[in-house]
Amino acid sequence: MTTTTLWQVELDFPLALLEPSVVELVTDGEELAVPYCHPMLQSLLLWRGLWMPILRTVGNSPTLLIVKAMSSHDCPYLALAMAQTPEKCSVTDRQFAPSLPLGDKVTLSPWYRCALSAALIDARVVPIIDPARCMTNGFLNTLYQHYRKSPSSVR
Amino acid sequence: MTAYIGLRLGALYLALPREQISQINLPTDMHQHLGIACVRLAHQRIPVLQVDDRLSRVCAAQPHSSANYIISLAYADASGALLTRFALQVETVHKLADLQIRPIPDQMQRRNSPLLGIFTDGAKQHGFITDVVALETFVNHYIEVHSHDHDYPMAG
Repeated sequence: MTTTTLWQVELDFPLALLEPSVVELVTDGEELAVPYCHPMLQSLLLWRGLWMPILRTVGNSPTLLIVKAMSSHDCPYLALAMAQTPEKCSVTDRQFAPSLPLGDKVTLSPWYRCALSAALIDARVVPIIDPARCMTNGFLNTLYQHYRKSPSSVR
Repeated sequence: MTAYIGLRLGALYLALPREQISQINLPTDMHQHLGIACVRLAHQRIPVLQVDDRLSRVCAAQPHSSANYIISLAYADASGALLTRFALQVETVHKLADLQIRPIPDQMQRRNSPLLGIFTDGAKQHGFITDVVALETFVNHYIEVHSHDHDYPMAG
């Protein structure tokens, strides 16, 4: 039985990332607030001479996970603001890509819209997100509409 | 190579092409015309606007704000004639040199934003590149969206 390595990340929702998508965890990065920009991407992180957007859904967390959108050429990196420190885990073939609980309340989460697949981790179906899909306008607008209805987790 | 002037509006640090500033006035040069704050430039009245540092509010300049300077902004039209349609209240004006300029990622940008890029100055401070056309587009858009707030006539 083969296994796949994932990073479990906690934003306001449990998510997972494929190992090659994760670049670095930054806790003391230099941020620049950008006025009059997309409401889900309100600041930039300066990292190794590059400016990248910060996607923040949880308060003002300074813990940022830099992820790489392998199919995006114009903006290959994104910083995700973390609620908790990410953890590595391995999933077996049997845990990987379980059928999504369609119709369940959880699938209404906008994060499923940028999922490549899903994995069963600690008895929860966790979407494995694609950083490139996280940066599409359609997804960002959906995310904004979602948090506008429940704004407590967005700054 | 474009020479830039640095402007501060509260926490907002902007860099504007130097040739787009047609005149710099002091707040004492401002007068009211039909209830709108104006400065004079070549026998024209130029309305003076005030923009907040979050780009969430555009209004006619208030005479008792913290602004120290009023900059009139000009650009050349298709015929090459210089147009100055409005002026802005700012806190500081200074020359900039050795700017590193980077783009703002497309995903962040909103239509009508006056912010065209990110710059880092010689003191390693970061701000945003703008120009008069982008500022005017933003101001006009803001006025359209918030037309119930005020009427801001633009000088010709």
